[in-house]
Amino acid sequence: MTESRAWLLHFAGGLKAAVGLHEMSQVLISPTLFEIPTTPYYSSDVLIFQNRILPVLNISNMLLANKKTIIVTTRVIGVAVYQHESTEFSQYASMYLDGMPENIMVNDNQICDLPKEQKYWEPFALSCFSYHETAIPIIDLAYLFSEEFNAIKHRA
Amino acid sequence: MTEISLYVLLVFDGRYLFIPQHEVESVEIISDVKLIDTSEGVVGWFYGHGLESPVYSLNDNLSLLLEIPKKRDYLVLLKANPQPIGIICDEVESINLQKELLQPQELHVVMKTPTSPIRQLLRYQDKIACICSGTALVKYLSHISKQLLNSEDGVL
Repeated sequence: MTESRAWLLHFAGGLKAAVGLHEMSQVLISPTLFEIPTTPYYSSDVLIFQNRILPVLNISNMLLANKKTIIVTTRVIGVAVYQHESTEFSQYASMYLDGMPENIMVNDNQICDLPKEQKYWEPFALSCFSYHETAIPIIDLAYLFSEEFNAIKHRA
Repeated sequence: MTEISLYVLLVFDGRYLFIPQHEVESVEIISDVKLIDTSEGVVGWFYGHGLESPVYSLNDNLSLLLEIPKKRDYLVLLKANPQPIGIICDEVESINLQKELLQPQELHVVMKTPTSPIRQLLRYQDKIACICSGTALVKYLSHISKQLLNSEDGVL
């Protein structure tokens, strides 16, 4: 049985998902945000992290709302790390969180199907596990932040 | 590909917009603009270089304004066919990014939209400035002025 650590992320609107232990670089509390015009409603802010300008993705708005209807009440932002190819440099992007991430243990026995009512995670869910009787999708960060996925969104 | 270093910085409503210098026809003063009651988002016309150029006023969201705020003192004429297109702004400056040791960063894919003129972001003073190509900005102005016209038609 394989067991590994993961970060359980809480998003606005009651959404939950997980990423691998090494895929969450830092959590920032109330960083300065800058709004960039002519950007999608779920990704209109940037912040400065280690001299880089990072997008701040609002996953709840991307998945559940057609407009900016889900209000982010906290100023907790998770900085995610991903790689498109294992030979490439790590890249960073950030996401609005609804509270601090939880460090949890996950094992093979917890694997489950993504419930029908959470199908919106499907395009970028690597798999899903059950945690406290809740299905938690594991986010494929590289795909979520890829050219391919974001081009599909604009065609849809 | 040659890296562009010389830019014209347009400032309006606190928004910082960099455009490659070779895509700028000229910088004029607002008193040379013949102001009109707006139609299609055009707030005035500039008669110069043997051509009539439509003049636009933008806010910090890069949305069309139907009036000219008090601080707008300058007109930047962008090269375009068949005639240059003007944007009025509060301040204009010529900036050499290389000399100022400024490094633009590509706009992240999650922030791109099909109609956005913004290609890159840049830390400048205490702001995040947007970098557009002149061609993309001209295309964007044409797109939003058509949108405005259509919405006015809808009302009528």
